[in-house]
Amino acid sequence: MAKINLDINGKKQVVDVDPKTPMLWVLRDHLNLVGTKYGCGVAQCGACTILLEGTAVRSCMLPVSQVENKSITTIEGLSENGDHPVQKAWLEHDVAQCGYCQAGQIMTAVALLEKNPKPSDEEIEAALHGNICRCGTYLRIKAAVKTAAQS
Amino acid sequence: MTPVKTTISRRSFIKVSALAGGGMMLSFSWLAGCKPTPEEALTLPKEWFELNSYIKIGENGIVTLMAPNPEFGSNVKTTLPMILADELDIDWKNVIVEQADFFPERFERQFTGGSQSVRQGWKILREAGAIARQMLVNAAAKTWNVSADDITTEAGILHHKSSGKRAGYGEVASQAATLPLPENIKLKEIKDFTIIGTSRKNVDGKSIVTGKPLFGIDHTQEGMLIAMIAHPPFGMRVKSVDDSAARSMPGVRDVFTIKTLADDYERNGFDTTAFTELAVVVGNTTWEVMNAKKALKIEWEKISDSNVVVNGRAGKQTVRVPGGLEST
Ligand code: FES
Ligand code: FES
Repeated sequence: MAKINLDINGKKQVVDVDPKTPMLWVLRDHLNLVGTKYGCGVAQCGACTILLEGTAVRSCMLPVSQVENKSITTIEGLSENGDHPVQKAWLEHDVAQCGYCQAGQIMTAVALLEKNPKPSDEEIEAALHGNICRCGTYLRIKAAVKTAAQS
Repeated sequence: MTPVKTTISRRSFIKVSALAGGGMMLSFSWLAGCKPTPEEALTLPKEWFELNSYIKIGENGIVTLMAPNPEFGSNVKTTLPMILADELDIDWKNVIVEQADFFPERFERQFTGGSQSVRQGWKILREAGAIARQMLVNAAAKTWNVSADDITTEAGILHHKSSGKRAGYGEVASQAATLPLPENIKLKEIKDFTIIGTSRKNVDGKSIVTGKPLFGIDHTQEGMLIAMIAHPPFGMRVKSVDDSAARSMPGVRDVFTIKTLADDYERNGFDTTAFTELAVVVGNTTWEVMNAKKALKIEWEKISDSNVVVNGRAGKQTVRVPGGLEST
């Protein structure tokens, strides 16, 4: 166990955990931020995607010891009222079916648009191809990313 | 409108809460010229009146519809309430959808699978909506002292043409909730549907994009522990479990094995019964339990030859299964 200083969604917090604990479980079990989802646990599905200093990373393979004092954003911290342009575009296109993968999809899309505000179709596909959706919402995801890029 | 006799079982109409009876009748005029704006419409009511298992109406006309089936991504949590809403004849913007708990005494067919949710939910949900609508009509008829047959509904408003009387559903809901279940109801003609056949957005859309807890894995409660199971290879069962390392790991509370089937269990056609014995680790947090599970030393052995009774759709069959067959 070790005390680790975290900066999550703009809030400084301290957790006392095994330093090898993946961020996914620190968020879900210790900080009650359950929007970030567990799919595979081995960085293969994208359900657990969060932003680390603005970069989309898989939290299931990210030990908490690696993120000390670095800024982390989860789906809960994207906006106060669910009105981040990507969230709005997701609602406009009614992207979600079961919704389980969508936090990961949205976080990946946010990171993409941060770096590349006007991505081409190919760039959207390349950025999001690692986020798996069992419900198959890929076409709407792509449309929503394009809408978000215009706003 | 097609007149039909009520056929759904009365058990769907058991009242669990004593919601009915206390409400006060409001004056009937205030809605006449002013439709509530969406903002007003989304104010939560002070009181709910339950008309049946599927439908509760607030004094301000907001309607809670229950989604009876589990949502697995086919959007039944949106679709099934749409069927209720259309027959109830309400405005979709005044609807709140709530996921029903598993409650077979109150709801029919509470599972999702086989592409059957809409097909098998169709009749019961239409009737549940039409019954509630009829109860609201009957309540208005009583209050206005007119024939129920002369009252029409549209988007949550009751209207008696010759007297010009109007009322929102919320205004008669308290009285409607005390009325007996009508024997005769009217179902809409297909051409009169206003919600069925249109596209409506996922009712959980906002919760999903903001990361609200919605899934089984998101559930938490005071004192909750985490459990994980170690599955045997197919066709195998537990021979021995050495849990000494796991038990001494941080956060671990218990390790045990469970049999998943009773000795005389008769399998159904759809059962997944490959894992008859499992090893279980229980502990404080997910990561601790995951690690302890890896530290279990389990020896598996072949399941011995057995007679398996399969109780399928067309009757029972006894099958002799040689030990270890399923491990191929
Ligand atoms: S849970 Fe992290 S990528 Fe699947
Ligand atoms: S919306 Fe169901 S997994 Fe993507």
